[in-house]
Amino acid sequence: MSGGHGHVGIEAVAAGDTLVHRLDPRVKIIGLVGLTIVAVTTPVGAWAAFACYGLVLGALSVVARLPGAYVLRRLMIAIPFLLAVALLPFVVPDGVRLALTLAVKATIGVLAMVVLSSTTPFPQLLHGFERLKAPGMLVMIVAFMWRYLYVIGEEVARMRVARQARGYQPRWIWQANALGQTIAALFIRSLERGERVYLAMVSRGYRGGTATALMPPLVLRPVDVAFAAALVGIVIVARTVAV
Amino acid sequence: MTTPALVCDELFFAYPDGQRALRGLSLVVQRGERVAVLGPNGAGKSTLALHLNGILEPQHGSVTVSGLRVAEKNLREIRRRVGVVFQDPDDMLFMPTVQQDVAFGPVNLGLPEAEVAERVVRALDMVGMRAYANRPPHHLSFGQRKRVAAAAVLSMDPEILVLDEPSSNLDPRSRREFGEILRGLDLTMLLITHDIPYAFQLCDRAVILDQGTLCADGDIRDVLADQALLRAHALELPAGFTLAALDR
Repeated sequence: MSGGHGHVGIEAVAAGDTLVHRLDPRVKIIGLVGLTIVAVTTPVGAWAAFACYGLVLGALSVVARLPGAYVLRRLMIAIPFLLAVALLPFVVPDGVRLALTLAVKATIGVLAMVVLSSTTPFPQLLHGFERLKAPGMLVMIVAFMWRYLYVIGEEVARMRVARQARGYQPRWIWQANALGQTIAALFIRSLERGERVYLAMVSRGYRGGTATALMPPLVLRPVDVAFAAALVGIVIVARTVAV
Repeated sequence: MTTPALVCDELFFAYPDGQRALRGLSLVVQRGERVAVLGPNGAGKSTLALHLNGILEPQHGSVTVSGLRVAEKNLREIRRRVGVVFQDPDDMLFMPTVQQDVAFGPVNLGLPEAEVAERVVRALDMVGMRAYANRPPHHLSFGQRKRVAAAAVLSMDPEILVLDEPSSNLDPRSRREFGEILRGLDLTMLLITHDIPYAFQLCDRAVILDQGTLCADGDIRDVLADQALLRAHALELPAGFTLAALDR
């Protein structure tokens, strides 16, 4: 359960100060989400194009000074998906090519999001999405999720300590019962907290507000425009040449 | 006499499960008073707090804040006038950064951005947390979060501050510092607490709430000196604590 540590990691990395960190969050969102979409729609087996996307993301990671071990750890989130993809060669014709393509696409997509989230502090990211006219309610929900991930994470840690303090050391699957009960208790607690948070919001006159009040306005600089143009240009060229 | 800051008149309230939380509670608080609301668990203290800013609606009776009755059409103004600081700051701090959280109330009041920014700075200054404006709440200590939660209400420029267990879970120094902040505020205050020494330090008047109604109301010194009264409502002075020890 290294979840808590993982979060501390991403915040520290995102607080860096490099060329990539300083880019306008809007161009990073458009550029990296755009790259992911282009990658996903690239035909099966267009290896040169995929290599090009990978190089772009790799270069961004290097310029942003993202620690290699950190990036690899973050990429592991795609493993369950890759395991499912690994079945393809056994069930469809030309499955190896298809499976490899899907694996590469998934990795590129995850890497793009790792670069985005590791070079943009979360409040900035929300700000960018809001300025890009993402639905305000959705931005608010994501903001809440981020905030309460930490609160609930601490609760999980406390409950684990409480279990261990009473001698719970599960070794076999049939001892997982207590874990299920922990999850149930956590669910109830979160539900109750949700109600209290709502009361606190209403108490302060909530009428459907914004999650990004008082953020300094975002201003596109030449370097932001250049970044967006370069990224889009490279990706489109790669995609076109590949086909 | 000027209009009282708060008038609760014959409040009755029962929860949907039938639990009768308030049974004919009446209370008048004058402007600038700091009143300790004491009482055992389940006495109706938190239910009362939720009535003061119109979260709960009395099933009988009325609440009036500076002459304005708590009712559906007045809720916006009522919630500006009455600031409730909840017990757990994590319930109150739901925004990504301290500054955005303190801005939440003023933004809901529809204030222009410059005014919001000014109020945020002022409120954070009042609790000594200005340097933390851009931090996410989970980077703060519990005591700091509590102070930000107070700022989040102070930024709405309230007339009455209602605090639910302000000293709970605070370490001794944070508890003292928070008390000093409260003492420095020129506001009408309702302190809902089990922390009797804290109440004694901060309040001049105390009421005892039990079974949904007021059982005592007077100078806090007189209320706390009445051992039989305290015992009857499951209240006790901490061991070794005497009122003389904390004489102001």
